[in-house]
Amino acid sequence: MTASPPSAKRRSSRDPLLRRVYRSRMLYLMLAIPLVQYAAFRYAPLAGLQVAFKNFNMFRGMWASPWVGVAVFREIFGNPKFWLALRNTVALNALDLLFGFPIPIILAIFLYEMRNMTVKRAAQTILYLPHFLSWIIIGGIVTQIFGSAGIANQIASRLLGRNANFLMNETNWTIVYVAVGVWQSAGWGTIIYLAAISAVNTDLYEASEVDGCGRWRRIIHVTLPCITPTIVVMLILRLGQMVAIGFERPYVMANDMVLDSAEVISTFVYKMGLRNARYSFATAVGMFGSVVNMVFLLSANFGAKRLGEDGLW
Amino acid sequence: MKRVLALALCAVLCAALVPSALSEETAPYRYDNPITLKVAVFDRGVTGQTPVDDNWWTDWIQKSFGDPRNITMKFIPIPRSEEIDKLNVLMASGDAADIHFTYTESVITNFVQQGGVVELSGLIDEYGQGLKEYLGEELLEFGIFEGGQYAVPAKRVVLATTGFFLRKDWLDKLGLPLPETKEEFYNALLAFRDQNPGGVEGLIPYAFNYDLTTHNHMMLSFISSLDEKTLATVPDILWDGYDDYVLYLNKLYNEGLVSPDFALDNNETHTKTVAAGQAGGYTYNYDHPIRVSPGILGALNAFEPEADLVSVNAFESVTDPSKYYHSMYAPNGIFNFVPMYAKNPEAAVMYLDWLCDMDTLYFLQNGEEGRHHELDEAGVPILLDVTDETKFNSMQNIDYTLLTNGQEFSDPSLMIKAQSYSYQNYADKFEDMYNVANIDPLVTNFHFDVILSADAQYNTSLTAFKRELLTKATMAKPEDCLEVFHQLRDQYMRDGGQAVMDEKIIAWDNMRK
Repeated sequence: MTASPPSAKRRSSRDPLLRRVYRSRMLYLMLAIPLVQYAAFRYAPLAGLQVAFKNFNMFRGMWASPWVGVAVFREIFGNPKFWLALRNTVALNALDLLFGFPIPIILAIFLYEMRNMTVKRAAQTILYLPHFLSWIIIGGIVTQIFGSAGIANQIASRLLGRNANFLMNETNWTIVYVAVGVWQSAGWGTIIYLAAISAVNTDLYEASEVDGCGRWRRIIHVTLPCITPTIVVMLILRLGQMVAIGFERPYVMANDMVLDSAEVISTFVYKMGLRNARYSFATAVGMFGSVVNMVFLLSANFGAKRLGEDGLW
Repeated sequence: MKRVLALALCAVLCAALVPSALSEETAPYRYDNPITLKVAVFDRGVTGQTPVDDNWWTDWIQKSFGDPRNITMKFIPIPRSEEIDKLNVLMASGDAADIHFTYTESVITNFVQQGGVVELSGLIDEYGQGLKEYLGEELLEFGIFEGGQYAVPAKRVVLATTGFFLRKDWLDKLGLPLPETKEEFYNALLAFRDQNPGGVEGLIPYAFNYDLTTHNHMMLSFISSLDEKTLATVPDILWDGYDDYVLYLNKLYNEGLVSPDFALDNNETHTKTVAAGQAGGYTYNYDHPIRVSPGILGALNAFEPEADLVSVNAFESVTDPSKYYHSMYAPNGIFNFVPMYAKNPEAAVMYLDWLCDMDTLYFLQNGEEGRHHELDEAGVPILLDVTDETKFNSMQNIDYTLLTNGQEFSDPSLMIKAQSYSYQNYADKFEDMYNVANIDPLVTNFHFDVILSADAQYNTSLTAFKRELLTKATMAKPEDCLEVFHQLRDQYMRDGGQAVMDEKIIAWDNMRK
C-alpha cells in the first residue's frame, strides 16, 4: 500500500483514542463478539486446569479441593494404559496425516481440472456427503460392510479362503480406521485447496501454455507452487493436533478385541473421567496432551520458517 | 444453665420447624410453602414408551403423594445404558436430583468417601417407619457404609439372575433331549450347527454379545474353590477351574457355535438374532424371553408359532455332578441415596416411605382394575395388555417402585402366581424358568460394611477390562488361549485387581473377628 494521504495522518494524530474507537464502534462491536466468546469458552475454563494438581473432591468443588502438587502426573506417567493411549493417538494421527493429508490436495486439483461442469458438481456433492454423516451412522455402516457377514468380508474370504476378520484384528482394524477417515473427510478437505487454486493468477497459466506446458507440467510448475503456502499452513495446523484426536471416530469404531490399538487419549479421558469419576486424573491427561500439541505446533512453525515458508505468524 | 436453656430453646424451635412424624398416621404432613422433590428415573429408551418423566403414572404419584403434602414432584430421566456416566456428571456439577440410585456399590462408595451423600438413619427413624418395617434390619444393613446409613437398598422379591435358553422346537426336531451336562449342551449346539433344524440363513447356534461375563452359571460349574472367603474376596478369574471355563468358551467360539461378531455387538444385536429365529439360544435374565418388553419370544412366535425357548439346566459342577450351582443376587436390589444437594432430605425419606406402602405398591405394580388388570378367582391380579398412554414403561413399573424389585404380593403363597401374571401370554412358562434359575443357589456378591477405596477407584475400569480379557481369550487360537488369558489376568491384577483383593481380604478378616 502507498502511504496515507497527509490529511488523514493529521486527522488521526489530532483525534483522541476514544474518539477513534467511537468512530469505528461498529467494527469494535463486531470484534467484541468473538473476543467475548473466546474469553468465556476458551480462557475462563483454563482455571479448571488446577484440578490436575489437586485431589479433586466433586462436592467441595474445584477451589476448595486440596493441592497435591504433581502427584497426579506421577500416577499418570506410571500408568501403562496412558502410554498405550498416547502411542495410539500419535500413531493413528500420523497415519491419518500420511494418507489423509495429500488426498484432498490431489482431489482438489483433479476437480479444478475437470471441464464438464455437471460432472464436476456431481463429483463434489458425492465427495462432500460423508462429511455430514454422524460417526454413529458411519460406525453402523462399517460394521455392516466389514463384519463377518458383510459384503467386504464375503468377497475377501472368497479370495483368501478364510475369514478376513477386518474389525477384530488390530492391523486390519487400523487400515479400516484410516480408510474410513479418509473417505469421510477427504471431500470436505478439498474446499480450502479449491479456493486457493481459484486464487491463482490466470496469467501464469496462459504464460505456461505459451511456453509449451502440457496439463501435467502446468500442475507441477504452476498450480502446486502457487498453493504451497496454503498447504504449509494446513500442515502446521495439522501437526498442532497430533495428540488431539476426535472422540467419536475411535470410540464408535473400537471394540474389545482391538482396544490395544484403539484406545486413544480422548477415549481414555472419557473412561477415566466420566465413567470412573476420576476427574483429576482425566484433567491431567488432557492437559498433558495439550502441552504436547503445543510443542508440535511450535516446532512445525519453526521448521516451516527455516524452510523459507511463511508459517502461522 | 445457659447451655441447657439454649439447647431447650433449640429443641423447641426444631420441633416447630421440622414436620412431625406423629401426624403421619392420620393425615400426611403438609409443607406450608410448596417444595419440589426431584427423583431420578431410568429412561430405557423402549420403542413406543411414554415420556418417563411425565406420564399417567407420574401424574398419579403427584396426585397421591405430592398434592396432599404440598410437594411438586419432578422426575429426572437417566439413560439406562449410560447410567453411571450420567450420575457422575450430575453429582459433580451439582445438578443431582434428591433421590438417585445405582446398582454399583463402588459408585456410592466413591460419593460417600467424598462426603456427597446424606446419612439417613435419623431421618428414617423419624419419617421412615413404614420403610423400616417393609425392608427390615437385614436389608437395611446392605445400605450401611462406614457405619452410616448412606443408602436404602431395594428389596428383591426374586433373587434369580440369569438363564440359558435353547430352542426346544429345534431340539425336538433333532430328537435331542434337553441337555443336562456341559457335554450335552455342547453337542446340542454342534447339532444345531451341522443340521440347521430351523433351515435358517445366517444360523447362529448360540448368540453371544460383547459381554461374556454374564455366563455365571456356566462359569461356576468349572470352579472347584467355592468356599465363602474365596467367593467374597478373590476375583473370579483367579478361582481354581476358571482356566477350563475359558477353554470351554474358546472351544464354543472356534468351532463356530456362537455369534462370530459377538465382540462388535454392544447393542443387544444378539437378542435380535434370537427374535428373528436365526439363533438357537442365548443367555440373559432368567425370564428374559417371555418378558413383555422387549418381547423376544412374542416376536419369534409372531412368524414361527411353534418356536419355543426353554431354560436349560446343563452345567453340572466339577465338585459334585449332582449340583448345578446358580449364582443369585443378594437380597438387596438397587441402592437409593440422597445427594447432599437435597434441600429437603426429609421429603425424600417420606417419598421412599410412601413407596413402601402396600397400597401404593399395589397400584404402581398392577394399576387400575379393568384398565390394567383383572382379578383371578384367588384375587391375584392378571395384567392386561395396555397400549394407550396409561401403559407400563417398565415391567411392574420397577423404575418408579424404587424400593421393590419384582412383583410384590402380600400373600407369599400366591407370590409366584402373581409374578407369572406379569408375563401375559407366557404366564404358564414363567414357573419353569423361575425354578431352573433357583436350583442350587449360590450368592457370589458380598457387601462389606466398610469403605473399599481401591474398589471404588478401580471397579469400573476392572469390570471393563474383565470383559476385554474374556473376549480376547475366547477369540484366541485354541493353542494360544490359556497363554493369552494368563497374560491378561496378570495385567488385571497389576492394574488394580491385586489392590482390590488385598483390601477385601483385610475387610473380610475384620468382619469375621
